[in-house]
Amino acid sequence: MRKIRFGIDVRRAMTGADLYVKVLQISSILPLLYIFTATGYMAIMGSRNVLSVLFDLGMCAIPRVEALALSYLYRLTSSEIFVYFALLAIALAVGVATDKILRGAPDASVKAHRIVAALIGFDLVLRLIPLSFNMTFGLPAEAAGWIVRAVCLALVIRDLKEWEKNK
Amino acid sequence: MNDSKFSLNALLIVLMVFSALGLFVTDKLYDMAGRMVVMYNYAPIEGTDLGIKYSTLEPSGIYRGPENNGELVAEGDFGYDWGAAVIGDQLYINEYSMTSVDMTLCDLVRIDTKTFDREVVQKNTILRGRCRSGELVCVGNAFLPSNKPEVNSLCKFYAMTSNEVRADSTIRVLFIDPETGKVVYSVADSNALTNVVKKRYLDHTLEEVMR
Repeated sequence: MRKIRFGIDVRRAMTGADLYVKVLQISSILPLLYIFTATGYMAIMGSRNVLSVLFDLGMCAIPRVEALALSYLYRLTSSEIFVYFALLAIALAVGVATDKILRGAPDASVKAHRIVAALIGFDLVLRLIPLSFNMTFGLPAEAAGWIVRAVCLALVIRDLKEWEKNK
Repeated sequence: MNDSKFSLNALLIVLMVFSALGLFVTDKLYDMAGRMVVMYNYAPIEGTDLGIKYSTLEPSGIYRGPENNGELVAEGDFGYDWGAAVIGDQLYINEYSMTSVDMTLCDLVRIDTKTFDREVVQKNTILRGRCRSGELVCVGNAFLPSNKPEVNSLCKFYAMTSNEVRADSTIRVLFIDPETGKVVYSVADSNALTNVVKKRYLDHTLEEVMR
């Protein structure tokens, strides 16, 4: 195991920021199941089913700005395949980048944690603005996305507080 | 921790590779299989020597001349079933486009019947016909009912950043001046995609509707 002096993750297996990245990556995979199935079996789009619920949950769990950008990309290209690979690419890019930064040099890591906290906070506030895009997928999916995000924010803040205490 | 994160990243890479292969198989092979089914439709456009052909054997579009031996003058998937209108040299018609999983989108287009230049008048709008005073009666903010927008997650996702289209029932009937292509009146009607359109709008003048 790599030794790092930075206090956030010396003893604990996972920090809040790590969890957030994992949530982002896993929720990016959820909509893919629906799109992949729809390319070969169009009838799946004609009824509410497990995959469409997963699609909605996944779209609500990824950052709202990312979902909006992907929706715009979808309208621009009329291609679900573009959206599919964009989702995968973003999840992978975030995973690789945060792996380097969150576990890197202490100063950069703390900064990264703060940035993650700010981004989650911004996302939480954005989701509360009463605009139509905030109710696209219905209240249950939106509420689930908000709660997951709020839990991640609480964990990141706790990690940062602990680090401040141990400093 | 690092190992587990690596594995999630690795999973994404594996997914990406297999998706590329899988999507090629499902999307492209499915498409090839779709073309094995022979479909053919032809509808002449009233008052012109033009007709709209939809065929899986030859290019779909607007043909000039006799049905069997016509000349293709504008290629595309045009719809005559929900409504079309010829005003002078201008043909107003629905043009369908498909997304990569074959979800159908519909735009109202204007085609010059002499030069066959095409112009999108209103995106995501479905032409239903003309009212008695001549305005085009269209349904705006709507997906085609065949997409089942009320349950289709892709429709909701498409509508997420759009003011032009809605996946819920807040659709509007638009009255468009055929000369200018501008919306002159609009009214919300959740039944705009049903047969009530004829009784409520097409059989009346705009003034009567506004009353």
